[in-house]
Amino acid sequence: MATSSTVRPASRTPFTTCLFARTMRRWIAAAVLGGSAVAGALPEFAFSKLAAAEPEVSYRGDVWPILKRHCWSCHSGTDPQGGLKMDSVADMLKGGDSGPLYVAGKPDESRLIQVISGDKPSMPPKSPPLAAMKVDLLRRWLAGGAKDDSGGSPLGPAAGPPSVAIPATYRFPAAISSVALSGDGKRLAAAVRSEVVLLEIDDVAAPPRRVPTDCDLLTHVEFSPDGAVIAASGGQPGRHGEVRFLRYSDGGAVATRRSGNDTLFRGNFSPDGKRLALGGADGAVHLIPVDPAAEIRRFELHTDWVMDVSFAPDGKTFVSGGRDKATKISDGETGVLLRAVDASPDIITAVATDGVFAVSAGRARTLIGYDYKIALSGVGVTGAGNGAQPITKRDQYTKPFEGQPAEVLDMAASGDRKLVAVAGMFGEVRVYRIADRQRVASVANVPAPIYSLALDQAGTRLAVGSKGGQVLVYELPAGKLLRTIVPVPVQTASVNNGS
Amino acid sequence: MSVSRICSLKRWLAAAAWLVVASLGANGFEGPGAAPRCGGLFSRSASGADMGVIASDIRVQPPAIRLVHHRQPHSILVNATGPDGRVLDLTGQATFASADPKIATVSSLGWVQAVASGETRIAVTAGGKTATVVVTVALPATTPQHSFRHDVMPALSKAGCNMGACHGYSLGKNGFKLSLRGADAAADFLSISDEFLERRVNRHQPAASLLLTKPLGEVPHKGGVRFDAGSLLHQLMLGWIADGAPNDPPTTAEVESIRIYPPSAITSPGAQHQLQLIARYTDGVERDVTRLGIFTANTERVATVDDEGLVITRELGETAVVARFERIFATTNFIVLGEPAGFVPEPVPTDHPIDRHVVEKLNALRVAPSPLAPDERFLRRVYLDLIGVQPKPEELAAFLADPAPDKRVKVVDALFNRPEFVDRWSLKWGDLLQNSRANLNEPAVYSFREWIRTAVASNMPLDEFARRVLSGRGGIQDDPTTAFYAVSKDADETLQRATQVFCGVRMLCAKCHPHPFENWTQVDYYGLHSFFNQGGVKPDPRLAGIPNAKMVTVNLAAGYSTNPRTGRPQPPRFLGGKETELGTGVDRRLAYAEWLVKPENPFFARGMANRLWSYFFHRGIIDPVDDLRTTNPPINPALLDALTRELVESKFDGRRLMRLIVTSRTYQRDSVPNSSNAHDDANFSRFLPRRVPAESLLDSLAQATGVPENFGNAPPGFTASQLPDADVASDFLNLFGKPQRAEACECERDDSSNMLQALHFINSNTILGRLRNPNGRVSQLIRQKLEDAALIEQLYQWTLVRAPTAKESELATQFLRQDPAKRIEAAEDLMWALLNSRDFLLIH
Repeated sequence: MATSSTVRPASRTPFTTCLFARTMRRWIAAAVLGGSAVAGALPEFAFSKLAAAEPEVSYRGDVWPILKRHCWSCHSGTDPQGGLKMDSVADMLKGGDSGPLYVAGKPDESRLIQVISGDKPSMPPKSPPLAAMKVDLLRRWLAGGAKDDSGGSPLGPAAGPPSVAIPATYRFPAAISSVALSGDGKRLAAAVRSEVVLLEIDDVAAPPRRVPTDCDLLTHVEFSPDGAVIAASGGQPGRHGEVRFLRYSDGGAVATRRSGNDTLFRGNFSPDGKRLALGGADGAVHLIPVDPAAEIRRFELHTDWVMDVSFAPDGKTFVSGGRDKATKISDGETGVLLRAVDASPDIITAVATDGVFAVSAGRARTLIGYDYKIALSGVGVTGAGNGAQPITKRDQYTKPFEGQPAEVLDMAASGDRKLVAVAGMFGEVRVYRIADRQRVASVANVPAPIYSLALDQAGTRLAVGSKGGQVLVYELPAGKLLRTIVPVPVQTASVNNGS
Repeated sequence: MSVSRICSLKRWLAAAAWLVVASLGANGFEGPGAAPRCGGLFSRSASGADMGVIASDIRVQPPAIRLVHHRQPHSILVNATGPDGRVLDLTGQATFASADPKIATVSSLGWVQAVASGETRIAVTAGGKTATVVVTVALPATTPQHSFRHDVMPALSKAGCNMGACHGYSLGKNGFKLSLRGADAAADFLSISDEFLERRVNRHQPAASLLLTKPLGEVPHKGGVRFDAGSLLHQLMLGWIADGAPNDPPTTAEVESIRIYPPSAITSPGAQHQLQLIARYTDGVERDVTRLGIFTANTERVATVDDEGLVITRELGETAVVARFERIFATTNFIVLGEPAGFVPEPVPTDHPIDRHVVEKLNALRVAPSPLAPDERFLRRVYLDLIGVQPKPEELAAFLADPAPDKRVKVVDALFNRPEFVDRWSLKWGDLLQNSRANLNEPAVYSFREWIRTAVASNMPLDEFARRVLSGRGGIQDDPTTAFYAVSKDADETLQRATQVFCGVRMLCAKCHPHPFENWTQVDYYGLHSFFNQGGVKPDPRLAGIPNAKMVTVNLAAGYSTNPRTGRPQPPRFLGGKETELGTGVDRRLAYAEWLVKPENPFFARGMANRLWSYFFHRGIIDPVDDLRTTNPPINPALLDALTRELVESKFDGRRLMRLIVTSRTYQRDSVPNSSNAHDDANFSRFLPRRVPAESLLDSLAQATGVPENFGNAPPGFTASQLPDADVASDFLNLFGKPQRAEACECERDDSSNMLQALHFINSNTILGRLRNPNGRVSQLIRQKLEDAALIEQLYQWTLVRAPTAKESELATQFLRQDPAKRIEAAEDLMWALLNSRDFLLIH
């Protein structure tokens, strides 16, 4: 194990020279072969290290890379191990459940050194111990006063993915991850990766209005019930979820809220338009008020990502479905689970409800309705909690629709909740009446895969968003194509074999 | 960084190497792969690659390079031969220069990068010698897009993303699932490109893609940092996303084969050898995939291999280094030799194929074999190996007295005709075919046992034997071999048993996922399954009331088995061969049996030869014997080929192959090592002592003490080797590892030694009761009123099959005379000591 004294160069044997020289040569070779700016960065760093004879240990240049590789993957995020975040010097000084991570100037009294030293260091767990050289480096950084040369900003997130940049013209067709229609079916909002595009469907001359966000991926757009506000939600995968409430009139932000440690998924405005329920990667339904002063509430209802949430028309219940394959009905106010109505063989990607039936669909290629009244009979709306014991069995309330040709990726309900449109990995949109589960319209020859759907209040207009970057608007029930919109400019010459 | 800057940095590095190390070391600077190299290894120059000792010109691999892709450079290996014939790798010391950098450039490590179409040469200089590599560049007009299958899939494997512990797990990890070790590119493409609204790739801002930010550690990743910014893996994935994350056209070439260089190497401890891995695609294009290969050394004590295919040799010995690219494996064999003083090669025998190949290999290894074992040791060894019991004193005496020069051959031929020969080899087959009352009723077990015994006694050819075993139909009264099928609970078990026993291949892994160490997939597995899925086992209606009377039925109308991955019927597919349409109305098991025993079948003869060999040497030429696969290469391929040929040419005469083995000098070598072969435990330079197997040990014990064993649940008078199965009450046999016949694996027999066995020999009634038995050996000898010397000699011969040495004789005499009144007890104690000696417990 390393001691506090530095290993002197003179004690090194000649073979090390060769190995290090070889490593250097490999790096240089990598730079030559790669030829790119990224590849060049490493020898540059090496060079700066060579120049100084006895350089001070740098947090940014020496310490952070070690911490990032060996510590940070567990000691980060919303639920860091041992309550310790290591994103920044401040985080480490604050420490975790066991107190501050180190005492500047006193490496031997620092927990950081204690846990990585010794015969069997406890950190990092289930991994080889840190090389003596690295321990020594951290020790010397502490001994030298643990100076923070990061410029104050946490290196974790700062050294993370690049911030969102939206191209003026896209090189490749940009998938339409979500579409929304206003109640009257005249206004359309589409989510295209990081931006929201707003347009008037019947005004062909008006150019689409592009509203940028700083979400890497938008997964859901929706008009508020009064049509004045648009919710655009998503976030940074692996980092945080975000919702923006935008005015349709000028695209200006009403509020921006963050929640969760990954993107938020799809959901639904409450009927009163005051809250938005969205699925989260933490297995919770996030209830996010439009009012920026009101508190966000999380209801942990699923064991995996919640992919979609839908309110009943009266707002008293909502249906959720997710990657845990479950479809659940919960109380719209308290978030208390009323009943887990089904466990699908595969992931649930979309849910809807008219207050009489809950409907869910997903990868299992099924579309199933669940009769609320029968499913919830015997279940008290209050007080029963997760231990609610229903008195009915699954087959008493399950009402399957016809099977679907392939995976279902999205389902949209009309504003009056009479119809649902279903689409996915197949080139067709099917529209069903919820009440009797009959197919009432079909739109064929739609470019698959279809990522997103929207219906207006009366179910007379259907908007379809494709992976290939088109928004198609149809008139129902005839299925007549009204408009084809490519909401963002795309280079015409680009080739994409991806679809 | 400009080229001139790199060059000056490089010169500076060379001039100030000391300072570099000083500064780097003091700062904890660590480049990729540097840390594991600091473990006190020798450098290349310490391994004898000093410029002065090159005996030959340098060799370049390959001598000519053809580059057809903008982003697929090719490496050059530089080798030379030392004066002692060993291979030296000079790649790391060589300098490379391109005659025309406008056509192709070359890096300091010898990687040649295409620039423009044309032809040029690379001058390679090492150790004062030069060589030339001709480079032809034929680039397409435009830079090709990155390919998911050619660029991203290998990168995912190399970074470990699709390992079983990570996203290759059957449920994925954290919602991201990849096919295990990249078996299914189409599914992986969808997961990466499309799933969850394209959250994993951002075509419009490639660097922001989750597919990169996670493995780079820019976003918290439970799998940790998988590669560094700017690394090849990063460039491949980033490049693919920047190209729009395209799918590949259906015509995309697939990897057809991979080759590894050097294909084998004889070298010294502490040497380094750079490997080169070349993939050949179905369109004929070859690509250097060294940087994308996954390397492992089978025996890390002998050599280790790093991420970039640099082998570092450690201790004397031999190891295969395995490389994987996509689903295909290749191996190279590294032999690490010392410098034995005064090694003189053994003349290569020409009169015996086994000796020839073994000695050839030993000469290459600079290992001298041990001399032949003395007559007593040979006799005991060949008795135990062939008939499973020790020679009696009179047999020993007759053999020692025989003046014939070929008396060892004569004794072998005589042993083949002994009834115990049938006992021993029927026992072996009974083990492998799992003939046991745990699975079958008693009549079935005895009838199958009898069938096996007849086959062994008549020396039934092994192909005929296998065919008969695989063709059984009906009840035991129709065909005793139906027991083989009746043992299995389903077609899965039958196919796994049939392939393990008769092909030496383990297929179980491929039932659920691609085999981790071989290119078997579920297509291969269910292809085999379709051969066996017509078979079924039902209670025999003719034997109503007889418990567990089974009958093997064949439903000729049964369709093919369903491959659960595709959900479609999988036509029968011969192992490593082609699919075949057999349809219904045909007993497909018979087609399998016919294919199996064809002389050109790559598994059967080879597997059988290897298995038979292992019974005499305690290890296969491929070891374990029932785990034949590319990544487990034979220790001596020429030897195995020769044995296989012998077996095929003799029309699968198993006894003949045994005879060839036990009459070889290789089999007859002494177990005492010499100075050059003490470290060799794999190349048959000496006989490796091993514990006598359970049944032979018990039978030899019964013979030595003159007290037979009575087994519960078996007819009286049966020896241990004659037992119908392991379902008998015998602590001794259980303790000494008699297999329960629950598995078709050789590994079920446990020939190891342990403390309980030792205590059993010291204390148990099995030993003590036999010694004190009034009708036992000791009492018999005492009753003969022998002189001390004669008594001692008899005791030695019955137990250790040799006469005592003078010293032993003297000690034993003293012991017997200590108390004349207790002569019988002293004789018992002496025999106890002899039975507890290693000489009795081991075949040596």
